Amino acid sequence: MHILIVEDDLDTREILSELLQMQGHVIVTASEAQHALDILRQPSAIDLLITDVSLPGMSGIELAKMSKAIQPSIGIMVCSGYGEQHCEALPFPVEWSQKPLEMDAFLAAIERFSGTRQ
Amino acid sequence: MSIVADTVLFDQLRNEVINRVMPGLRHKMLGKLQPITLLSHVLSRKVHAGSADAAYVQTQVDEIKLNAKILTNATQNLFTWIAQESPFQLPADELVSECLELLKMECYTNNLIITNHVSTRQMLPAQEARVLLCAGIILMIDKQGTEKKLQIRAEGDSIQFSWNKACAGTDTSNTGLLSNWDWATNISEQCEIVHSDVDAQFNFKTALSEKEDAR
Repeated sequence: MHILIVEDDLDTREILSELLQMQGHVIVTASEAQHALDILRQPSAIDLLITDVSLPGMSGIELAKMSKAIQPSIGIMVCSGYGEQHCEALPFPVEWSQKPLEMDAFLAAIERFSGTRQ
Repeated sequence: MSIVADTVLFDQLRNEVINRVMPGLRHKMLGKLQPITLLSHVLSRKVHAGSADAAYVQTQVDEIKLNAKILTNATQNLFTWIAQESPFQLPADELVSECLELLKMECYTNNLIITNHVSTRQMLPAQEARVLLCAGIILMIDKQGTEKKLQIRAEGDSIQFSWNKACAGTDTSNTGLLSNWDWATNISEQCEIVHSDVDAQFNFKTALSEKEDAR
């Protein structure tokens, strides 16, 4: 599965990327929303967007909306230390994960999503 | 000796501000915890898979120790928001950045765009500046205008907020001290607050350093 990770914390972004590569996924990363949108506008399809809510320049919630407009079939996973209420205004379903991530549950959610793509 | 003119009023304002920044404090603390949980999970998986040699394990352990130290420092700093600490000082640019970081999510959800021009390292009384500056930002966040823009600048001991005229005079839905600027008059001996419909100026005095020397 092709996964785009959008996370402004360098350590978190790199380790999360390493972990998901170990799971056999192809990972692309961005540190802010605008870069993520540039990636999504390129021809290679991304299956899943994993985004933090709190990002420089644009929130992860806005990014999720714009990502769906660019790639309607993309799956969205929102990770945040804030509450889930920020996702409630979104007009499409998203997977939400509380930070700090509970890793087994987080990986299980990704594998569930991966299963729906096959 | 208190550095605030009205201790009861300042404590009430501080309580209201802390309630508002609490989600930001929590987010900042948990953000520092995340690399530790991820590093330990990756290390555990590699050890179980037999793909981690001693050098790799040592590197990961060093990373975990470094991140634990970062978490400890961040936690100690954040607890100074909640605990009543002795007066201490922080540079103006760090104070403003910290206040904006803690209220970032509120700014997003309330369509407030903030441009921060503060780069001065002028030392300011941290406890007081945090509360007063956050109270000013919260007043802007809660304004009813749809296109809300706030500029923050600093010069010497003074920090200035100015906002677009679309927000001038519009009400907030808040009750309590954070519904208006009434608290700003005479709340502090350390900071004079001058405000109008379109701007506010926080003029800090440098007397704190003399008090610090006297302690």
